[in-house]
Amino acid sequence: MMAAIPLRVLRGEVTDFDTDEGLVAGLCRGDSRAELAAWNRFSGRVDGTLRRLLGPGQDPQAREDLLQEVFIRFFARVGTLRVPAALGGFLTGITIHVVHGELARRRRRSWLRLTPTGVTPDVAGPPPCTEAREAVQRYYQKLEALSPKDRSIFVARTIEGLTLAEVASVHGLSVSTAQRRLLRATKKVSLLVRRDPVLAGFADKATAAGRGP
Amino acid sequence: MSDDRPFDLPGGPESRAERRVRDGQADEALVNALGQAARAVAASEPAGPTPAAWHRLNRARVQPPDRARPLMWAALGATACASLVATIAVVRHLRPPALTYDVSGGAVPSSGQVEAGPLGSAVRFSDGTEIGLAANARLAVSAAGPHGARLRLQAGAAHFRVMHLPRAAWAVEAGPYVVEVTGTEFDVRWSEREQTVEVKMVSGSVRVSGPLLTERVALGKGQHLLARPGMGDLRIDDGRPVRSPGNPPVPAPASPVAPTPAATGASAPPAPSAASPAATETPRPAAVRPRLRRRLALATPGGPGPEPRLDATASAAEVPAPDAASALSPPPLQARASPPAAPKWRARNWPARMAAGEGSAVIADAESVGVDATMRQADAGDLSALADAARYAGRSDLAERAFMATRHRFSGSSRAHAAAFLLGRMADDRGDAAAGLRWYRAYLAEAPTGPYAAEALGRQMLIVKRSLGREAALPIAQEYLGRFPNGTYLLEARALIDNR
Repeated sequence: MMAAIPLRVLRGEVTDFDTDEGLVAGLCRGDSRAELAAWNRFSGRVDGTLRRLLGPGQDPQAREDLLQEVFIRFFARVGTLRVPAALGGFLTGITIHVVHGELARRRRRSWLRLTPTGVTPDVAGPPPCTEAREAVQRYYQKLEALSPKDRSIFVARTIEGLTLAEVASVHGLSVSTAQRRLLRATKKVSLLVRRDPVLAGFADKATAAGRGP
Repeated sequence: MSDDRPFDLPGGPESRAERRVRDGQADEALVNALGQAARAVAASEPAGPTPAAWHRLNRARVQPPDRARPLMWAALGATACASLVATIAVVRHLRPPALTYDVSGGAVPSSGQVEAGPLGSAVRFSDGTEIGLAANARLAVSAAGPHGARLRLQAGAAHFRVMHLPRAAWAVEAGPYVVEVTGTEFDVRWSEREQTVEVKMVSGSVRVSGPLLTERVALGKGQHLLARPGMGDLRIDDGRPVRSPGNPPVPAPASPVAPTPAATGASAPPAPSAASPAATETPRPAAVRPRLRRRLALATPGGPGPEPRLDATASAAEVPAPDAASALSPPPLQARASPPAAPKWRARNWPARMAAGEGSAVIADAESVGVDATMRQADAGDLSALADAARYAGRSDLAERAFMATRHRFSGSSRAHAAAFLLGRMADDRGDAAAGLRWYRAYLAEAPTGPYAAEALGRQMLIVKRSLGREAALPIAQEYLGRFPNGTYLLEARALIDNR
């Protein structure tokens, strides 16, 4: 994996765009410096969101494609943002939509061609991972049992940590409906986790550690 | 995580609700722990995109869109359109359009209603079926389908010539009777004033169902049915009454059943007389209700003459043969004291029609029968279907009447309980909180574990919160959480308790 290089592209003066209001105003004007400022400010965060939504072991190039897609949509739609202070949530919503679409697309492709990309994958050895990484990978595999929308709701709430109201808003649902789908997904995922001895053992330990002595 | 928790707590047996709450909390803890692990793993990976990503983004933004993709989508769209057109063609072939009809010589005051003029009128359907309406007769076409229609003769007489086609399905309602037809020629007359139905066959066969018949009766060529359900009188063919096996057959009245001028069209043959050999034959095996005990009606059917007399002072010429009358007729005074039995409701299959999305047809059907009569006579299933149809059509007055009728006539049934909830919801939705609350409480008292219990309790909680405040709603919220830990109003209940 490529070495981590925190991105900070510096070009010109971007101090006008330190506030959400200034940044949104600049983006609405089509100011390229504002776009760069937005990238500097949010790309790491969006990338982190993508990692959490997609799960570990994803192709970095595919993730970068999604990152680009998120920002292309963001720049195209920022004019519709009515409250500049909601910029972060607006971007998170776009990210969730992009991932949701991507997962649905992968599911369609896997149904048609048996693999997510349509290309026969190389058989790779097991990645060098810790117990937690392996458990998390298995966990994300379990999430594939959910429908793309239920998965998106579940991950946005339980992994990404959005509030229920935010989850409902992003997915265009009422809070009651989002709550109902979340409960249904939680029940299903819990059942699948408990049936997996490795995952169940890890979850037991994680829950006990979370509870404290 | 193990699932082998003890079922009983030290304080006593654990209720199902408590167990559900505990399971829900365990599930939540489990996914929270795994979510935390997922976040930790994501955070441990190298953070942030590479510097080149910004430049690739800019390049991607200035690149012209891929031309192959729109072409691919256009091809897919064209294919989808072609498939859609083919599917529609197949469906239309399999399910031809509904029949249409023209009216000549009459008026069409509203959709589906035909009123004949003083010289009568003709209704011609697109499949060739023809209906000749006698002067001033009224006909309602309540549901025209691809292979037939449901017609209601509201008044007067009509001559039907139904084309005999594959899958033809026609039904003619006359009063409380239904004549099912596949292809034939016959006359029907219905007089609301006299409560008399008459069917005269010209050719082919029909099946008739209605009061005094426990099953459908087939009528063949030349046969004649005359029914006065209010008087318990039913005759087939030549005025010979049809009796249940428990009741002996009765000789026919002296006067023959004369064909009415209105019902007897040019093509209709005269009804066989009572003196014909057919009158001495054994009655048809058609089952008739055993309660048929009334004396025979003697007035000339169909004519505008006086109503048949039931009093003890009727002249000898007007009463049937003494032996028959004494054997079957109740005492005259008793006959006069007891009112004529109300026509029994014939199931109209409204639940199935509602399921097929024909709510407006159900309402039209109810209105053609008469809303008051429907409320008095309809069975529970039909009433519920009518209430639903009215609700969906925004006819809240009709829906409330149907629900109230359900509660009044079928009290104690599950439909009556559901009616309480739905009445409450209608009141609640129109802003009448007090009425809504009363109905919800009534429902919960009648059906505490019914299918609407969670919704009723949740809505009750919200009404109390709005009208009486948070403190008053708190016990309801606690009850809701205990009984329905996964319910729709979970958030509201929790918010009420947490903000105490």
